[in-house]
Amino acid sequence: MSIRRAESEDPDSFHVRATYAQLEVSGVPRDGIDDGIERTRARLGVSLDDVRNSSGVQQDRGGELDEKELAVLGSLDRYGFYRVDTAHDRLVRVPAAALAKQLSASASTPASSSSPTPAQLALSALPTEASNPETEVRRIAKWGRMLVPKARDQGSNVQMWSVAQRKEPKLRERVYKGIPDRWRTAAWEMFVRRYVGENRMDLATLARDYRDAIDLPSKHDIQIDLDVPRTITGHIMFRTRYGLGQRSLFHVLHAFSLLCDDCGYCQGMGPIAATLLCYYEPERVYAILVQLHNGYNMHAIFSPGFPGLLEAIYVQERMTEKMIPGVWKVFKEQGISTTSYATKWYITLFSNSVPFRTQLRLWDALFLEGHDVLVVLAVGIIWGFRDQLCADKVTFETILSLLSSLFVPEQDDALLRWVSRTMADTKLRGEIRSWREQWRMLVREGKDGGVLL
Amino acid sequence: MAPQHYDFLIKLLLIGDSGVGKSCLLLRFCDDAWTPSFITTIGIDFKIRTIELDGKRIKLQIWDTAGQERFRTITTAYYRGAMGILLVYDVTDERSFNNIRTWHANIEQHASEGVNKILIGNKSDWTEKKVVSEDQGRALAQELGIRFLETSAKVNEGVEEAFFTLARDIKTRLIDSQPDQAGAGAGGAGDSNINPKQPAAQGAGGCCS
Repeated sequence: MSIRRAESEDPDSFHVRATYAQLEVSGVPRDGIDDGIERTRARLGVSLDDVRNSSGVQQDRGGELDEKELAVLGSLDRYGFYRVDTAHDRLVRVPAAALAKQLSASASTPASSSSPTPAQLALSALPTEASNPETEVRRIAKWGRMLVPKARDQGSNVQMWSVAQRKEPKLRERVYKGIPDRWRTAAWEMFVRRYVGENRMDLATLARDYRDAIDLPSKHDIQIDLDVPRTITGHIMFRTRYGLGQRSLFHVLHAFSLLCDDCGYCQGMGPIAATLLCYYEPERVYAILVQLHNGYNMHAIFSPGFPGLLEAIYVQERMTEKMIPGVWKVFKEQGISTTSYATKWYITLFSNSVPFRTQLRLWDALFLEGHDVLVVLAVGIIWGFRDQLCADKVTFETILSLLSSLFVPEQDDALLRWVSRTMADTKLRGEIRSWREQWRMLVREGKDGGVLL
Repeated sequence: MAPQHYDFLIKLLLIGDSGVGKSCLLLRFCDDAWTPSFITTIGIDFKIRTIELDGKRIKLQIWDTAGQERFRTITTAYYRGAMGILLVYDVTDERSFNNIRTWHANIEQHASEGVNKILIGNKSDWTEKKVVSEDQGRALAQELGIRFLETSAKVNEGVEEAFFTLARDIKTRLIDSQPDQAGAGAGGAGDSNINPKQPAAQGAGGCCS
């Protein structure tokens, strides 16, 4: 391994980069099963030689799995999680009934006094996903007829997909119904390509950029290394310290931190990259992140001062004010600052705010339709809780506790239907556009201070 | 009336470098739990715990912040409403200790005058990796004129003491010092300047710029 410290590189930063590089070569024993050993946090006394000597697969047991391995593998859900991350102590149901009504100012008044209190919406554990294999098999077949290969690699494996012309009218509806998971890899990439423009995403160039970036130092390496072992570690791929998933995550974030001098690395990129790593190899994840940065407003979201976040919050507030005036009034009276609960929604693309399976459904829509989906979703969450937020006994704390929760839709379909209909409302979409413009004008004229809640 | 009864509301804020264990301290204090699988705090989060001090029920509203520097544009808006601030470093990470001065300067710049502070050296259980000694921590605290404690959220050492010490200091400063409040019953406390139902006090926690 020939990795050398760059002249200006911080020694600790180099230690981080070199450790990942070394373990990329040797691997980590019992990857996915054990938690592994910390080698870069609390750096003192760990030399690269220590890393070299103690890493690597210790013994080959001829492919036999021991009891612990069998137990871990047997406990995985369909996405690869062996544990629901317990960091979230607040799980709340999003009532499906509340989302049955479409967003409109006249329908926003609290329905009845019989709606559940926030305490009644609390869940003690994440309900298991309702599975319907027949529906899924049917949908897989439909997607198989809808998508056609667009490009193949040298081994004639399909590299890119496109939508069969005659099926184009069905696409949107099928996306909101949920992309069958085995088609997600193909579909997301295709959506991103369509959204940013077909010619903007040259995979060969981006793959080269990625590989080149791996060998460069990044001043963000220490911070990235701090965040890697606390990013979806309930997933088997990200469980083991310096295991395959953590190394990939480190390298993708490292490369991405070098893409844009303004953005660098921002906490919140981690869960986004990790989710993508569940579907793509690292080079492809990098390629998609670059498109999110360039085409989905993520540059403005991650830039210092978070201009894109503030813009989204402004639009969210205008939409709430207009369409859910009762809730808006409560927010004002109680002094609920939108940044206090919605920051993580936008910066992580809802990664840490809904169950993984719901997040995937939301991203289906996001990649297809662009970043307006995020604002619509934010208002959707508020819409779903309007009865609780307008209740008589509501307090600053009950509101913030509710809005800082992990949201578990009673039915993902109900939430997606709501988002679909709201996104299809052309009048509202026009308003979203003009609110964005309004905010940018306020910023340009230096009048944005004190405008947000 | 609010569903949970309490006599006073005290707002606290946790700040310090990324990864020093702010969220873990909060989880330990509010839920008496510890998890190795913590997630990065993005932006700002908060938790509640009601404690009893000298026969008074005190609700602590504790704000947790993202440690990455770029989030300061968001988190500093929350300094002003805080009555007490916990400055946290990691005893196994010298950088986080060296950055305490910067965090302290931030408080001076953005927090309310007279805000109570405490310096916390977390991860004290990790003795073989410890690089910042208790003496160094104490010396810095002395220099800054604030209290100091080492804690371990993991093995639950010093955590209760840290929050209780800070809460007691705040109670002494804001509540006991008011002549009409000293020794007053719960009824009288309703007019205190940190009354939860007073909109100004409520808004201070969540007000931007």
